[in-house]
Amino acid sequence: MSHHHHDEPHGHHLHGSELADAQTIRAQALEAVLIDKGIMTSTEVDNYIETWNERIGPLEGAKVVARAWADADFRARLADDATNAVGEVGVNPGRLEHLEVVMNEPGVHNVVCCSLCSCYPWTLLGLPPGWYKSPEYRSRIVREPRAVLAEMGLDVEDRTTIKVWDSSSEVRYLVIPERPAGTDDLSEDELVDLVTRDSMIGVARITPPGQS
Amino acid sequence: MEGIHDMGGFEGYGALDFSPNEKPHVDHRWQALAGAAMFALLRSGRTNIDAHRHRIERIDPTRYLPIGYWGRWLAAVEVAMVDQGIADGEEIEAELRRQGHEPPQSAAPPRLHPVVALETRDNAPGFLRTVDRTPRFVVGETVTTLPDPPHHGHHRLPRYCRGRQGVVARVYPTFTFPDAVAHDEGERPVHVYAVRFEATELWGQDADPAQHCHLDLFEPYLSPVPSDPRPDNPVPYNPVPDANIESS
Repeated sequence: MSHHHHDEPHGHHLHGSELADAQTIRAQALEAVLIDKGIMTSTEVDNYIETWNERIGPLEGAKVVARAWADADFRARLADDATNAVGEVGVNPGRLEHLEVVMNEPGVHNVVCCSLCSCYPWTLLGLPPGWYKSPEYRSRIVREPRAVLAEMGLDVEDRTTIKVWDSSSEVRYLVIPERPAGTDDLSEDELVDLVTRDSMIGVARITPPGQS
Repeated sequence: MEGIHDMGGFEGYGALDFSPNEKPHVDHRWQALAGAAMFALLRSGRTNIDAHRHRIERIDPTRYLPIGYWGRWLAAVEVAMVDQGIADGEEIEAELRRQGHEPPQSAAPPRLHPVVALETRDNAPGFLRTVDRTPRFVVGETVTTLPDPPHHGHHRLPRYCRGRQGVVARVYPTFTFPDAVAHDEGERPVHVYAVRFEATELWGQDADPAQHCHLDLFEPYLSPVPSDPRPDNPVPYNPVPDANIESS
């Protein structure tokens, strides 16, 4: 597992560590002022670190996907009004402004990005991965998605239409990947375990159980 | 504005640094501080996400890339503090001098933190608005985008889709208009549409015929087809006055 942030500097003006030191000093000063003005509290940052690194993640999204596979009626409600439908699997829709799902199917592959900043469904997927925020992904995925996906290890055959969804408003997108073969006997909880974060962005397929 | 942030379609950035299902991680305390401070500012009602994005867009492009995602947030926090009169530059500089490398000690009482950070959003006004207005466009309708940037302020019309024809794929509710909100020009809620563009329309005839790109576009960015938005049939769009942009 890489802890390197791929959108972080590669040493254009300052070496990475010097830049990090400068950012640390700057941030500490801003924090002191914000605490002094009563806008933040002293424990807030550490709480965010714990929340972001330990508590949030793609489980919420995986629950939505597994239910969509297991329950055709839910899938229809999801297509019609995803923002409210996700409440049925325990996701608090109050944190989502407006959610849309895009469903992969034979001949159609969906992939999500944000070329203008890095909009991402944090509520369902946790923190965005470094590559999602990188200039490489933001610039290239809208122009040459098939090549970018191939680089990421996902070969999408030429006759499959690739639909890119560039998140340029407050609408957030979740890809419902195709259900892998050989999973008919699995429970919904077991299906949840199969769903990967990358597949819900649309940069991976889901590996059938027993394969790797 | 025409900034480095508008990356869609730019060439030359090279291969992705990708590892499958990499777990995102905040590595440095200052990165979390950038996020925490921005969410605190949003929660306090001192700024909004559109203005935050515009502050990021306004970062010197020679610094935008090297400082990275959280570095951009940190810069936006500092600009917001000065913009919103929370602290002037001298105050921040004085704190830097006072503090050196020592982390700040505070007597402020500890506070229970929500389980999911984005609960801050629950206290913010959000973006959806109920407006009694019929969407101007319907699913399946061909539309064309403004050929030029709407104005020099914050907007959400990427360069790569301007002056192009697409088809309305989904009609969304009315959202606050970022172009107005970022500049303290009111909310002016408008409908948003997912508009589907063929890759050949965006990137030329050699592009992949089995490739579409959908963008979420605010109604003022769109006009019906066939029509020439300029000059005889101007797009009914009221850009944000430049004077207000300069002061934001």
